[in-house]
Amino acid sequence: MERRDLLFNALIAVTAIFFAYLIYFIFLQTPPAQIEAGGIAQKIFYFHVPAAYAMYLSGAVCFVASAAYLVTPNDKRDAWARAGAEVAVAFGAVMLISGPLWAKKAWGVYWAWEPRLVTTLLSVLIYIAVVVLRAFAGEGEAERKFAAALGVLGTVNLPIIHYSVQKWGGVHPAVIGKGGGGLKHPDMRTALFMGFAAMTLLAILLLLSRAQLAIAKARLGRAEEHAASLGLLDEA
Amino acid sequence: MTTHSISLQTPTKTPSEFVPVEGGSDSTSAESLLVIAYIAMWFLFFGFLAMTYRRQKSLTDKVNQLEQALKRADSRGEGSAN
Repeated sequence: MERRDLLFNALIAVTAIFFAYLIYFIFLQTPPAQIEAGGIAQKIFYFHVPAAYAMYLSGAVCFVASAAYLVTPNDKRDAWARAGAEVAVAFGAVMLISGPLWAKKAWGVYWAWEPRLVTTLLSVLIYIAVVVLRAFAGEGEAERKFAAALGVLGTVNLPIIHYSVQKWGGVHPAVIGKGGGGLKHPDMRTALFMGFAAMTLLAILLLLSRAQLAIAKARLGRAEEHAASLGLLDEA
Repeated sequence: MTTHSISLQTPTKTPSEFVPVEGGSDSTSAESLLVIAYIAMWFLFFGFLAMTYRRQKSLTDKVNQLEQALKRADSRGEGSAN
């Protein structure tokens, strides 16, 4: 086994152990929150907020790779941009599904058309557009550049999500950070930071595997084109 | 799914606590919401992993196909050289 494969397998093992301990800690160590915050449903928070952060992280990868691709196009940059968008969609979906379920208990409704929720939905829709475009529009240079431009646009929206609560209010509370209501028990803070660490590991794992896959696919595509031009694939 | 527009909501400043939305109801069990959220989350992650695995498998099949084509071309080349 190569050194890189060993490191990747070690990362999988560490992530799995981290998640197992996180689940144990959230359900057996962390006290339930006050009724206004949803009571036991508040435990969704320890995955919901880190999933949002992991979406930002993946979005940042998509932004850097997309911008780099627009400057100097190559397969590697395109692969990382694509991986960033795909992983951002995965974490965005987790956030958009877990949030409304928790909101039903804390707010009494699944969804409210308020600034943070709308800007988050918009960002996820932009990343979905990137993924769909790259999956179905072919491998042409124009399609890749258009997807990269969308990837940049999706990430430009991320700071707007973050500051929308402070700028425009709405019902989404600021619990952590400046002016936030805070977490009532030290174990709640520990669980949240462990959630951030676990989601960071998972995001790295997913980004690495999707990027490697996209790089391999691009290389294979070029090799197939070359083989077809030599008439090697016609007999298969 | 119940949705409410922002016009129904009172806070204009950022709340630091959870403020119930006007007209909403929290009759749904917190336990079932929690279980649904966790199931949905793991379903999504495993679905994503399964998609990655499937794509990896189709890539491996294509590599095998290409290798076979190259082998055939090699053996033809050797045959014509002899």
